[in-house]
Amino acid sequence: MDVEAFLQRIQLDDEYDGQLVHTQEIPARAGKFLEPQQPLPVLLKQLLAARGIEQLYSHQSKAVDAARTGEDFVVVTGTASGKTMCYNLPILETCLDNPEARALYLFPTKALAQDQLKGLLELLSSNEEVAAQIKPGVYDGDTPTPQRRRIKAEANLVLSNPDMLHSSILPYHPKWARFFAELKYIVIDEVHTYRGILGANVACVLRRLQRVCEHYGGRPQFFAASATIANPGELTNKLIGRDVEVIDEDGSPRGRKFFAFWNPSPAGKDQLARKSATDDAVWLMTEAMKSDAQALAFTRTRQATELINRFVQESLRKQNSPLHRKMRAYRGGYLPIERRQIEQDLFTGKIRGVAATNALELGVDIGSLDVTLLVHYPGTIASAWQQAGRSGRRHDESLAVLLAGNDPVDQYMLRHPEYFFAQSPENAVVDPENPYVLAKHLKAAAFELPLNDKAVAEFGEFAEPIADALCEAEELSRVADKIYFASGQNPAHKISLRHMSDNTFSIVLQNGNPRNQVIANVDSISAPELVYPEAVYLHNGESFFVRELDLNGKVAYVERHEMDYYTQAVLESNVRITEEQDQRTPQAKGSLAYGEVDVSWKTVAFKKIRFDTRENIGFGPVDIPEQTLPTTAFWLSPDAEVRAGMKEAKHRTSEGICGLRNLAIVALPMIAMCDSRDISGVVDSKNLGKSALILYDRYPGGLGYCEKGYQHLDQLLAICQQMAEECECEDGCPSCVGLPNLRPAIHSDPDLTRGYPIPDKAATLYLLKLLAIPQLPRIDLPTPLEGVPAAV
Amino acid sequence: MLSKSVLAKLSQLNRSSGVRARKNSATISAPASSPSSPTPRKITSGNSLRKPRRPAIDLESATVQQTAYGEHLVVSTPTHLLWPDQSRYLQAIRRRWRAADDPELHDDLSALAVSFPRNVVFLDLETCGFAGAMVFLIGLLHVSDNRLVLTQLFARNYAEEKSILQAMWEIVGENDVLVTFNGKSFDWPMVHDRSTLHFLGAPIGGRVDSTEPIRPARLGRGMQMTDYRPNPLHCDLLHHSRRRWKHRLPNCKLQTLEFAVCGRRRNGDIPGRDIPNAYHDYVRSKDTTEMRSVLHHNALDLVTLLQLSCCVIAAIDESGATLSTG
Repeated sequence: MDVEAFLQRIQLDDEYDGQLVHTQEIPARAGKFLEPQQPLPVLLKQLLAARGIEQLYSHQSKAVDAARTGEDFVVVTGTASGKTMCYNLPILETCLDNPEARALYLFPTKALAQDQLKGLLELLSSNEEVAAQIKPGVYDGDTPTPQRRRIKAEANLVLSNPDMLHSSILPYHPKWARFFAELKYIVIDEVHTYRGILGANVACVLRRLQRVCEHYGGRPQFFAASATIANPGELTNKLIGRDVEVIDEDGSPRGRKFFAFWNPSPAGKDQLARKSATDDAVWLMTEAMKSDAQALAFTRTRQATELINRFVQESLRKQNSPLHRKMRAYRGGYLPIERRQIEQDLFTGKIRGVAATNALELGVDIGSLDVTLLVHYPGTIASAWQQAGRSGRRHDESLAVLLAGNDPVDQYMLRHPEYFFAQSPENAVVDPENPYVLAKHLKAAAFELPLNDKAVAEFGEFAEPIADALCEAEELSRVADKIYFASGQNPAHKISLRHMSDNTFSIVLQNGNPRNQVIANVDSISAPELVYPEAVYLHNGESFFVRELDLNGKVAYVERHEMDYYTQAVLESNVRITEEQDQRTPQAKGSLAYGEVDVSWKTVAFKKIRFDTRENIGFGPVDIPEQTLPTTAFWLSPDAEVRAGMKEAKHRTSEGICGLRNLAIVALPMIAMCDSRDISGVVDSKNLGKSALILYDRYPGGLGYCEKGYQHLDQLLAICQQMAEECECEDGCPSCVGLPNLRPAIHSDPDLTRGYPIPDKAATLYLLKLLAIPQLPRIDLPTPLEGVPAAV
Repeated sequence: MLSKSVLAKLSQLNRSSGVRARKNSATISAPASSPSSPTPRKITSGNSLRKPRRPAIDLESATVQQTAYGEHLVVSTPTHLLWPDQSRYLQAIRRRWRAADDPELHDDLSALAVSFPRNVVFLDLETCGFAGAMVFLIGLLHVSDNRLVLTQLFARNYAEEKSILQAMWEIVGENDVLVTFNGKSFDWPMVHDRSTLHFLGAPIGGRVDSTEPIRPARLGRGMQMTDYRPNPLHCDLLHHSRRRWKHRLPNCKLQTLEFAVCGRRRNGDIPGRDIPNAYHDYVRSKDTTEMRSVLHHNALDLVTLLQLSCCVIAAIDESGATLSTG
């Protein structure tokens, strides 16, 4: 599409009010082709030719070369650069040569496995003989039992996910003995998603996998693929415990791309709030579709996805455009079959517009689009680029637009576009030696095969003392020179690799045809926020009234009714200290303790919001039990002397702590080797009767992250202070006191929620000064890209 | 080094995980007889099992057996000591022999009838749990030196599993028919999985630890792991019992059949779900008290299996009623 003409037309429109504050042009790039050092086998070339591929991009050939020399690699290239070929080519080459060879593909979601299966089948389909010889199969929780046996025995390429490998393959490895003996390759796609808690768990699962392979005589190579992050090589290395080659030179061609920053105009002269980013997104989306572009709007919440979809359809219908039938919504919770259909219709171009959550951020192949709208800043630089990468034709021009919300971080980005473009994507942190995670997986490993000293050593230096502790606790047992599993049942069933359980509620339509059909799912954590009684549930532009939420049966019963309002849950959350286990006096002037807390949240009421005017037309109470996360935390409360000092300097202590909380959530991962998403914190005065910072792990029972913060509090505070001092901003920015980490209510309309102000940097700096943290050696903070100014 | 708090956490993990083994917990009571289920015959002393007061089976009386893969214990008990009625049943079978080509008999049953008892082996496992867990006791009931014996192969610790499996294959390899109760779903796949783990009998990735005994059924590509190991005809009595008794009994669990068909009641039996932790406790403490119960439990299961087989192949109906008239 002609992006410049499009933007010009928008700016000439009557509705335009100067919202376009910055446009960055990213120049086109020519493709770089390269032949592998040894040509590909003829049969493979024919398969590629049948898919219209005559030449390989440089990164694909480099991957083939690396694979052939037995190296592990991680490929880090842009969206739609043909990453999958990097691992599929060497695998298919080996399978054509040796029909007994096996490969295991791990994807973070079931949807991706299905998508890849489709891609592989298409690639193989052009040659009947090959299609008969190389059989891919998906083995996950949805695979029917009769198929499972066949896949175990016959599939050359098994597509699965780490959770399935952990709970349903490794503990039963003798049934897969042949598979493991012949396993030559392990693919880890979207490797950047395995960080923090999930990463620590996956690292342990991969060590268990390697041990089982070794037992049966296999030593597979690893091929990983990652979105752009700061440290793909380091991440992969930590996950698999081996050095990998990083292939990051993208040889695919790229059309010219524009990245525009858009600030919705102020709502009125005397209002600070701005008009909604959703409204402007609807307008841009409609215009883009009318200009024959294919467009995708990324939203931060499921409700926003539904609203944009609905409003775009309405707008197009009013303009008598037949395109309204080509607009869809896409998000988690839709049934797999519906999602597959949308993906396919996007790919073939049948759908011209889609509103989606980050469920479309991962690599499901939907082809390349012309326009992506980022409705609100997605929270991380890496995510923003990943989403923006969904638009980008190989030869044609494309456009990405970041539409800011009221959130201060969004506004900061709009004021400082140079900050966004200079910032390097985030580091992915993973700690394969987290003792809490290790202890669980050592048990699972011992259940699978007894551990000898060498095996224990492969789990890292902590593994030996942990194994000893487990033996002492009689969970494991040492017999001669090996350690055996010695208590209870298969331990894998009790270990979840992710933050929360993956229980789901079904949403059942009562008055449809046929009656009582499941129309969607929702995870159990979100159900009370989305389908409480009397809620209006939105699904692909239609509204449904929730009659009943059956918490025991995990079903929400809904009826189809066209409503003129939607509902918004009012949430109440609470952190309660349940047990103080330890306290110590830090050098900083405050009281510090560590122990157990209950983090709870519940829906207490809902608001009714009119679709057209966004007016609040009523409230209703909700009476459902709260949900609780029991976890571990530390709490820090500044001394009376510090609080008095703050007051004297006319700073609010709570505001200072608020800034400190935001800093600590970024700083603690550097000490505790976790991801910012793995921890959270509140500023609270209810528990202690005075302002306190409570920082907790977002995992049932805790994983020791905040425990580390407790042990190294002075160091943590020193890093916070250094971050705030070294930041060049004046009053606070997302790089220091302002980074948001509050769990967004993923089902509400973000335009209706108030943003959290960036706390006053001066208050936080003054608080840190009064706390009198000992001078500790400065550390190397992650630096911006070379040659580009840091935050201004 | 591991910090104090981690150790504290580990013991906390221990506290919160699972219920530790209970010592000598409640006995399993016989199923309440429902109108549809037959009334068990009054139990006479002659028809009941010998009381474990003077146990016929005990680890104290075990001998150490050596295999290529180490040692384990073997408890060998002639079955007539366990089941005084045995000879009456075997005679009854001889009198009321069903023709092997009786159309009412299934293929595997007629094979059983033909081979019985000389080439038949009855098998029952005691394990540390469901799929994936370790096997520590293999009970085999078979003919040895012209008499029926119960051979119990017992691993004194986790490291002896391979040895008992090898000894099991040697016995199974000498027989044509294998009889189990629910063995098609549980015992037999378990035996194969654990043998695979130990590289017994089937080559995996070029490795196989035992070449004996191998009686390959067929060779070539597409061979299954099981093809390399003795492959007796497998007769799972659960399926035959269901066919025969499910309309008359509340369920077809082995202990229900034992009560309703064999007319025996268990006292002081260790519940199946307690067995894994009883074994873990034994490995740690070497206290054999609970293992005596487990051996006894296993022996009872096998005797019942033997008795049920007699009933099925000789068309003897429940409570041995046919016997007294025959």
